[in-house]
Amino acid sequence: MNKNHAAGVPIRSYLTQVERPGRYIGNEINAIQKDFAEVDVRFCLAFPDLYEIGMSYTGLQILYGLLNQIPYVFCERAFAPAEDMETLLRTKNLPLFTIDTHTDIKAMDFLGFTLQYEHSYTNILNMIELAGIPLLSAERAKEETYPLLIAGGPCCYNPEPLADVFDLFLIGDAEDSLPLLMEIYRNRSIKSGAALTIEEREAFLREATKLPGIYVPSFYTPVYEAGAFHHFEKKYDDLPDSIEKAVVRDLDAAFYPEKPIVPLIETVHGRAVAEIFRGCGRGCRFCQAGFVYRPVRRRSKDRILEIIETQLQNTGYDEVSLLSLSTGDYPDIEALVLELMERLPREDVSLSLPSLRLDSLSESVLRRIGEYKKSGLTFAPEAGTQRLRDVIHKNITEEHIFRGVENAVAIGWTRVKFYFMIGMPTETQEDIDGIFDLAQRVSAHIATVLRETREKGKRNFHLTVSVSNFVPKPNTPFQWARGNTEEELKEKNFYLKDKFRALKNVQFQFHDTRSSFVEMMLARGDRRTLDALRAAVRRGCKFDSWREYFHYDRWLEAFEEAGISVHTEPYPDPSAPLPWDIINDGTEKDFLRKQWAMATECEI
Amino acid sequence: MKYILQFEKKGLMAYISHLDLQRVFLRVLRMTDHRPAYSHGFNPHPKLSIALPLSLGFTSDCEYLEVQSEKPWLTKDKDGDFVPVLKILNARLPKGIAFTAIYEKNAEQTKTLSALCIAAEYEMTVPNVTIREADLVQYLSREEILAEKRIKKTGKMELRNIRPLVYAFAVESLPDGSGVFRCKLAAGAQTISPLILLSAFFAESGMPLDVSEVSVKRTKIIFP
Ligand code: SF4
Repeated sequence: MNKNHAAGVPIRSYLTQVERPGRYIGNEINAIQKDFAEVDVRFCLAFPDLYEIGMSYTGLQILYGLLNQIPYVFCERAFAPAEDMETLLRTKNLPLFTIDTHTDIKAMDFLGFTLQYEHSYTNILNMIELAGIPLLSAERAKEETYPLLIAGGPCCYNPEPLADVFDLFLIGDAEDSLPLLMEIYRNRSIKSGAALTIEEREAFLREATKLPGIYVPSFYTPVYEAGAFHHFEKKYDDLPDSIEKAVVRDLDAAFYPEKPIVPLIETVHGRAVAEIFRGCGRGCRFCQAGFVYRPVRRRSKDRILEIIETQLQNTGYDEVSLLSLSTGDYPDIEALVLELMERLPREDVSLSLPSLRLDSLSESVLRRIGEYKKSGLTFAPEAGTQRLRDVIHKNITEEHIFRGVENAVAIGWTRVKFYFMIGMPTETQEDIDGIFDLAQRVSAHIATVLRETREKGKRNFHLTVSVSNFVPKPNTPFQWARGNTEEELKEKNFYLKDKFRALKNVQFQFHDTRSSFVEMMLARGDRRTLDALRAAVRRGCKFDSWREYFHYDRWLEAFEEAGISVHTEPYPDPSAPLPWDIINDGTEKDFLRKQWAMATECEI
Repeated sequence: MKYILQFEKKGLMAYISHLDLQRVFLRVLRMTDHRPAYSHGFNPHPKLSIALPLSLGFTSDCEYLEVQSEKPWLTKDKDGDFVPVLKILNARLPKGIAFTAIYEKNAEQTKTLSALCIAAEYEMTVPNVTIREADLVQYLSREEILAEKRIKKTGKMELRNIRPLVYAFAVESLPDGSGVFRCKLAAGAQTISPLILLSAFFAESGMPLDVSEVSVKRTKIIFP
């Protein structure tokens, strides 16, 4: 039960003073309005980046629709304000607001953040501050007036860096657990008739821990031994020892937005999107998504087609995309693609099939896909040699790659992109050179093929090689791996960059090594990491994923101030307890240990 | 087939730009199965455009959207009106935008609306002012009114005589203490923002003006 119905933030008269005011007004096609007086729970879904970025996340549309489907909940949205808006809020002494009704976020019952990437942590801290809400749950617990802070999303598989901030985490799929959580809260708040008292809040949180995937970090106090995490002390005996992630078994029955919000301003993507399956069965050892989203659950072909068609009718989009970790692994991919093409005339709609493996489709289907407007085609060999691909368990051989690219070129694709990673466990100079060799051989091979076929207009073939920096992630076999130092990563990247200069037809891209290093520090952090985050925010760090805003020097100072060494590996010993062991993502730790041993034994 | 759809732009939609609004229209038309014609060539784009851009923050009573389509997509009801179509479209549009009328464009008219329009009328409401009509009349009787104006070619602000672009300028005081300024200005090939005129006038009269407190509404676009 919200405390303050009349908590409007008078932002309107300032809107002409900021860039792209459309970011802050809501009012989009399919956005939902409810009467404050008729709802019991007000929820603000916050995305810690700009509107244009957040609105392109399908996850945000799922949560928004899921919550608003509940008659007694009104879910609104907030985004990180751009710099001009933040300055305005600070100088006019105005709090952060929901874009849907310009309501003060403090008037919400829940403030929910989605944790998509570690680089958004500073924005989360900054948004909480802009909202005028005390950062730590312990500080908020002294008063009754603040919203409950909840987080979900992939980064929650190590919630510890933000554990002192959030009242609750929802680990895993939200579709079943979140509505149940709303119901528990609503029942308690109706009974209480006003804002929950401190005792009622505590009782609510205790009841919430009975739901799958709900973690209440304040109930668990970490105990450190010799400077490393050792175990948690539980506040109540009946609390679970580990939090089992929430899993939606039947995607066809699960909520999926059929009337997504259509932004009024241009965003990263404006297109109909159907998630075709969740999870990935491939088990690449570095891949967090591959482990934490298990098991693989597919949506039926009919349901996918229904979603796409309804979304197109309700949005007027002219682009369709399929969402999953690896499109080509959809069991019925050929039939799905054929039927999609059957129903969507290509004069009208463009179809993009990301991460599609070409060897999963027959020649004739490929030709038909080729008739659509072609976006770039991507391959992810990840490593330059077969040895390292075996270590990381990437099931792709050189033959796959050559055949795949050949097929693509034959049906008219002219742009292909390869993804690689550097800094992985057991990597040697040979593996780094292997990246260059592979790219060189592929582009030479295609040049020969094109010369032989002499087809006009198909003479241009463009290969892009994109190299990213390996970051060891929690809940993967590589969580014990030594991350490369910033210097090591930089040296490897520049070595490759130099080499690739000789290949005229190949474009070489690489990622900011300093930013990857900070990601590494945050990904395997524990509760003490928050001190570094706070110190970074105090120094003005925010929008860390935006190159122009990233300040490495400030980060190094922040870690130093927090007493966190950037030179030691956080948790290198597979037999030692890990702070994120509390999260049970369904994979046995022993299995991860075995995978880690197998990977490092491949080493020659 | 060319159609002209008249619409109003109100409330929060004032903060949506010209290009963004065109994209919104395109999507809403697609939702109702209406398709604009596309230009030919390497990068086909839909033949759909808003006649006259409106500054961010301004509202309007009457704007015009011009759409060309391959085949007629509007059916008239028994009274010969396009009304049912408008209702369907309006139900899909975001709050603040509504189509108010629809016309078939004369097939002989090859010029676009934006090429045709010559003037526009505006209404500017300024809180807490006292202005005498006589001051305005006197101001307007000058041959030269200098104001900073952005020059299209260079993008720079330059001092220009804007008097020839001002066709009418009047004020009415409301009981709540605010003043409503109405003006008719050149639009189209030669354009001037009503706020430039208003700022110039206030500066001349030695009165402070906070433009962020002025609400501006376009009330009419004039075609020959
Ligand atoms: S890297 Fe791709 S294929 Fe491998 S596990 Fe992750 S999502 Fe699956």
